Amino acid sequence: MRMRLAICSLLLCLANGDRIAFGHGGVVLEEDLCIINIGYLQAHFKIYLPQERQRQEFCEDIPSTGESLFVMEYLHPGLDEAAIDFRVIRNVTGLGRFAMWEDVAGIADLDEVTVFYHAPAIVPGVYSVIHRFDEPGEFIGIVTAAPGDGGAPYTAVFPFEVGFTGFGVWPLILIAIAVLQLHLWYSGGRLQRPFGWLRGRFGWLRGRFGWLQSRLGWLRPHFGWSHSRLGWLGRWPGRLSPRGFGAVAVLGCAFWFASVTQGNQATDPSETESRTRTRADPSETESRGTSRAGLFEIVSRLPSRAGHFQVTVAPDLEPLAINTIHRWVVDVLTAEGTPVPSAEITIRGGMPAHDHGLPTRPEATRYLGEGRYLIEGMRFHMAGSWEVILGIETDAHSDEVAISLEL
Amino acid sequence: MARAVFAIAAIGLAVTLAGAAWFFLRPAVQPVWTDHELDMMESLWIANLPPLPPDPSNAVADDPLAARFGHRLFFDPRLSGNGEFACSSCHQPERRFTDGRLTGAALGDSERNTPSIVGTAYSPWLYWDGRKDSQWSQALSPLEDPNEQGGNRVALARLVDGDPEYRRAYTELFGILPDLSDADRVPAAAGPIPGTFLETAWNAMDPADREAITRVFVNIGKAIAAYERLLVPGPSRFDRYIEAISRGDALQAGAILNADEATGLRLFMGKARCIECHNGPLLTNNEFHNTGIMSAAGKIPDRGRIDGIRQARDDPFNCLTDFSDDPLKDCAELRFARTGAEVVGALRTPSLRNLQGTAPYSHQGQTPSLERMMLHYDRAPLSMIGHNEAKPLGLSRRERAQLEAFLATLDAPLVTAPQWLSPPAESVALTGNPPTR
Ligand code: HEC
Ligand code: HEC
Ligand SMILES: [Cu+2]
Repeated sequence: MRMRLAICSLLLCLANGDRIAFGHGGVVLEEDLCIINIGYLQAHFKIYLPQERQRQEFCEDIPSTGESLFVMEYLHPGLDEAAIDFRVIRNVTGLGRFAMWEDVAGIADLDEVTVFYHAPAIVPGVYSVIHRFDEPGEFIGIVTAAPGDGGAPYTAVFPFEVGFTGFGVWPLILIAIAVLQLHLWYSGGRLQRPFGWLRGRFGWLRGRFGWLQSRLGWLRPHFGWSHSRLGWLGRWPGRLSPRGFGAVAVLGCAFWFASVTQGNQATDPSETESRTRTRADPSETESRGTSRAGLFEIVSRLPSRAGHFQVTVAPDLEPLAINTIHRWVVDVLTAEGTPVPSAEITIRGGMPAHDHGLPTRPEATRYLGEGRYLIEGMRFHMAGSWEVILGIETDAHSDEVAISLEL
Repeated sequence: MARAVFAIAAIGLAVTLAGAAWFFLRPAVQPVWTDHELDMMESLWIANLPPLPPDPSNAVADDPLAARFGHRLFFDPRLSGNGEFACSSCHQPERRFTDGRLTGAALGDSERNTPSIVGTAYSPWLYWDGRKDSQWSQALSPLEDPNEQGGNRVALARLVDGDPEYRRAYTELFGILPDLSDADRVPAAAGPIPGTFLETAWNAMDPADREAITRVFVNIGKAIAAYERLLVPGPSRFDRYIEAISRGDALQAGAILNADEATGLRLFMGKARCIECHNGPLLTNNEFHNTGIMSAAGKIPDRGRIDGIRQARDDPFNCLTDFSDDPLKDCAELRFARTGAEVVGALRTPSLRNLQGTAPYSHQGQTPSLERMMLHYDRAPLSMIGHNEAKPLGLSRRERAQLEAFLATLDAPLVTAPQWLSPPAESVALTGNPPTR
């Protein structure tokens, strides 16, 4: 009984495992991230069945018909300006999952086999389309991207199945469980009679294969180590009491589950997405001015990281507050204290602890004379620790200064 | 012997049970606030709501006549293609200017849930995706949207021209109306509504006439905005609580919010991290965030701000156009707006004042109740597009209920005088003797 329970829990855990899909054509699974390659343009590819499987992600094959959402999150900025079209056709190539672009190009009337088409459109950031599959079957997705520079379009072709016809890894799991169970019974002595009967009936087979045994005899010493090292493997279920076995199964299950949930976390786009983010960098600390907001000058003569400049910052919002757009006046002096007239100032920043950037894209818009620059478009949208990094570039030097703010 | 063992076991069991019962059923206690918490609390206090920010793009924003004119327009169903729908059909005052539907509906269906209008004068951006950057330019959209009021600007200009009261108010505010009498020059109905006969008629008109009529259209928007500016939330039970706390009157404070509600407030500012986005006296930063709400059935996940900012930049009525009355045209919010991966699927944080009676929640009404909303934040699932900024919170059922209880304390009547909250009395003349605000 306990044994059954253990097996059931094992099964339940395994049933949770999804994404046992492997790439073909333009879509591949790379380190647990499903990638579509449209020429050199890459995107993170995923399919959802929002109604039935909520947020579960699929890489290509989808287990059932119904509303399917195809999402491509761009990994290459070229896709932001590319005109993308998306087509799904019935897989009439007869090649199943091995259909490739050449095979698709050979189809005389693409429109006839098309079940879904979305005309070319430029969609920045992320591309998504929704389609209802009414019938299960084999399909091919065709994504074409025409780069914004007018170059030749690229195409990705990926065959996929809707409504699995196979059973995935289930048969394997069932067989493994059956073997374990048999082994347990056998070593527990419960199967003496049927085995004895089998031996009697098929004993002659042994004689027939005797020659094999002698031929492969030389292999034995080579595997001696494995026998002595791993021999316990063959015995362990017998040695363990059913209760022990249950415990092991539950533990294994927990371990497996943990690894699966970790795997899911790895698909969190935040980990792969390239985004403007600021990370606390140990080398920044010495040039960082920590200040409490509220002083009119939030930093005064703060040396830049490599020491080429000194920076004074005065916002026109006093005290500095959230949710109000305002300007900064930045004084840039050389290390010796003379004003720097023609520097290029760039602004980035964010909340390192929250892993997000600034809510605006501030710019240095005007030179006010005497090394002073006007920065417009500053805004902070929540309280907490902010970091603003001013990049300063002159003909002679390129340097940065990191300003920490506590709002 | 056996009896002693039994007794010990029984006592042990009883103690454990009692402990568990205490843990799960213990009454909440009134929190003792730290200085940091007090600071945060004061930042949410409605007493710290600044005066209405000026709207330099709208010269009549604070004109009482414009507000009265706008009040009429807001409730007037003649401002629609079929004479049946006014702004107030969807923004119903008795429902805190929402409509109780999943997504708005008038002549057709809107794409999103109808938000409240209260307090929008404080927001640099309008709509869930911020595709409009002023109240007046926002008001122009539903008027010509075939799914909403489905009118057109020529017909609207004719309506103002033909109604003696409107005509008088308009001329007093904006100067004389263009001459619309020549039917050859100005058809009965026309407007740049893509793919319609109205567009054909519009394109056939003289550019100068089109310009003049578009001005009238814009001025209608500006009058409506002057009215909308008056809709501001009032002090709630929560605000009275802060007032008592800041006076140091813990006893009275305890009578205003019960322990569960006050604990909900503490969670809101602390463990649940709501205050990161729902900050300031209106409990919104009016910024765009991806919170991973599940898309509505049959719809692709809302792209939100990534499209909203593009539309705002291309909007013929945005802050940088000639239709703005601001000679300086600073337009910093528009000029320095961000785009990129962080705003994929990001929607504008709504105010949390007055949530009772505005269900369903979320941008497409996907969240039927606040209870479900709290569950969503607790789990913070991955977004289908973009990246959910909220993180799982590990709240107990009880803590979720406390958060919900706290949200209910933010409900209060508007400070706006009651006459603005119902259809204007036709008998009161628009111009002349102004009623008091
Ligand atoms: C069909 C119902 C409907 C009508 C009629 C309608 N609205 Fe709306 N309103 C909506 C919906 C839906 C939204 C949200 C749309 C979005 O964000 O994409 C909205 C948004 C708004 C907002 C933005 C609120 C915010 O917090 O961003 C304002 C302001 C507004 N409407 C004012 C008006 C005015 C003024 C009129 C009349 C000229 C009007 N509405 C007519 C449904 C309607
Ligand atoms: C990352 C910013 C962020 C955080 C943190 C956050 N919210 Fe929100 N909140 C939003 C945004 C954005 C929306 C609109 C989302 C949508 O409709 O897709 C929203 C919507 C809501 C709504 C629905 C309001 C309506 O009218 O539809 C409620 C209620 C709410 N939040 C409460 C909370 C609570 C309680 C917390 C803390 C547990 C919290 N929020 C934390 C940004 C945030
Ligand atoms: Cu933050």
